[in-house]
Amino acid sequence: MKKVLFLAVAALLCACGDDESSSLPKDVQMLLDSKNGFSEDSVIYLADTVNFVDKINQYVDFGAEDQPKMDYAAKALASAIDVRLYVDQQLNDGSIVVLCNPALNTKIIFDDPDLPVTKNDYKLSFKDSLKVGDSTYYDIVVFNANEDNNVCNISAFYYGIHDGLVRVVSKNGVTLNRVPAKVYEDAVDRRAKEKAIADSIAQAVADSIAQAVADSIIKANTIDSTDDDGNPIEIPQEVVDLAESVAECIKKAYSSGSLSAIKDCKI
Amino acid sequence: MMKFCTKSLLLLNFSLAFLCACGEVTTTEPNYYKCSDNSKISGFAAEFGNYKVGKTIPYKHSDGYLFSLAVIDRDNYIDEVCYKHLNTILESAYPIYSVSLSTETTTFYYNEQDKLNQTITVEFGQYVFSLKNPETLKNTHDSSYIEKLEINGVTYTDVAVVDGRKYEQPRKSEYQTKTVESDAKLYYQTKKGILKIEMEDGSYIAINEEDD
Repeated sequence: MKKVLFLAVAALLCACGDDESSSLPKDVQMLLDSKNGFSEDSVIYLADTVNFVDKINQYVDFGAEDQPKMDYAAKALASAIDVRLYVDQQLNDGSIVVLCNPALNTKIIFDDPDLPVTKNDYKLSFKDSLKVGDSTYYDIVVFNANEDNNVCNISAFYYGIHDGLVRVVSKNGVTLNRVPAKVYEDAVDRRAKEKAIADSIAQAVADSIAQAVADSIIKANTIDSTDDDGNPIEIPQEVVDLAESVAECIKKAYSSGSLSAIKDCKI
Repeated sequence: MMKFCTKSLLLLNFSLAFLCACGEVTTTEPNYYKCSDNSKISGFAAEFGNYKVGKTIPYKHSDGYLFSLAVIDRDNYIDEVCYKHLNTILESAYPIYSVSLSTETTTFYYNEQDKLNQTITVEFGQYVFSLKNPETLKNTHDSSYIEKLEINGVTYTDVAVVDGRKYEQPRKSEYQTKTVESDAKLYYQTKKGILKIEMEDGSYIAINEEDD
């Protein structure tokens, strides 16, 4: 009889334990279970529809097998896109926490998050899928901030639970979407080509101006290039030196990007 | 008699102890042990960019965007170990940029040279720059000093350029401060502050006062 009673109590305790582990809100549990297929430390790219593209480092920590957690962060290289979304299991039996501004570090805590959920001026909701360019991302948690009292430096972000950040919307409504690495690489190539062309044009302009100024200095300082018999007159060395130094000064001014410095070339 | 002697000795000891204690209280603490009651920093860091909350500065992105960086926060304070801090944040809605400038100095300046030697740490995305006073660079004939630089049709004098570094990635904590080399560069001037930031992807932002 005692044995039966002991087993019954043990079974009850086990059952209670099971209940406790599954007591997390289903959307919190979904985030904790999203480990499969997620590439943990990776580089992604976000771009607008014009020219702007930025490189984002993202990482996620799903904890250990016996102590699962979910802590996602994305930090852009140049821009201030800096988003963190994590599950705090100790807080109110499971809360989703969002940080969205590196300058303020303010936490937005969604207690008991059964999506959609609203906290003050912020909302978390769920979308089955989101089409971005040619790609479709599934299971998206959408964060929206109200225009007023927004502590974030963005107005919305879309987090694919298998893929990380897939869309960010700026405070003035510009959308940045997930793009392949090639978009970033093409932008880097384009800028390098534009710079090379601009540099070569500046160099050519500098060379031609420098040559023209040097020629005019020599001409102004030499009354005639031939003597009465038609023999060439040697140009005084100081005139040649002056022309060369002015030409060099003009080239330097161009290459440093300071056109106004040409005024100092003692033309 | 013996009792009297013991009492007298005890009284003498107490008196000496009391006098010693009074002496400690009246000792004047040197100035360098005290925190200043004025949190304001003066010199290069305070003058840099003349940044005031609400001020907006026009910039142009190399990809063609015209935007403004607005000063959204400027904070002076003294910490628990008597260091003065001056932190400034500039932000733009799009491109989504945030520039954080911070400087710290000891509570008292011992001489004018300390004001010249201040450095400002600038954080822009994951890039970090350490800005020295252009006047110091000029005086020491440092190659990072540029006498004149033309940006978007305006000539700036007494400019300096500094190479940037970037936080090692992935940066899993704000306490992870290890940086690595970067091709980024920042051009600046004390009067106008940040003039140009060149990023390692070939893009740049530059002050755009031409139309002002």
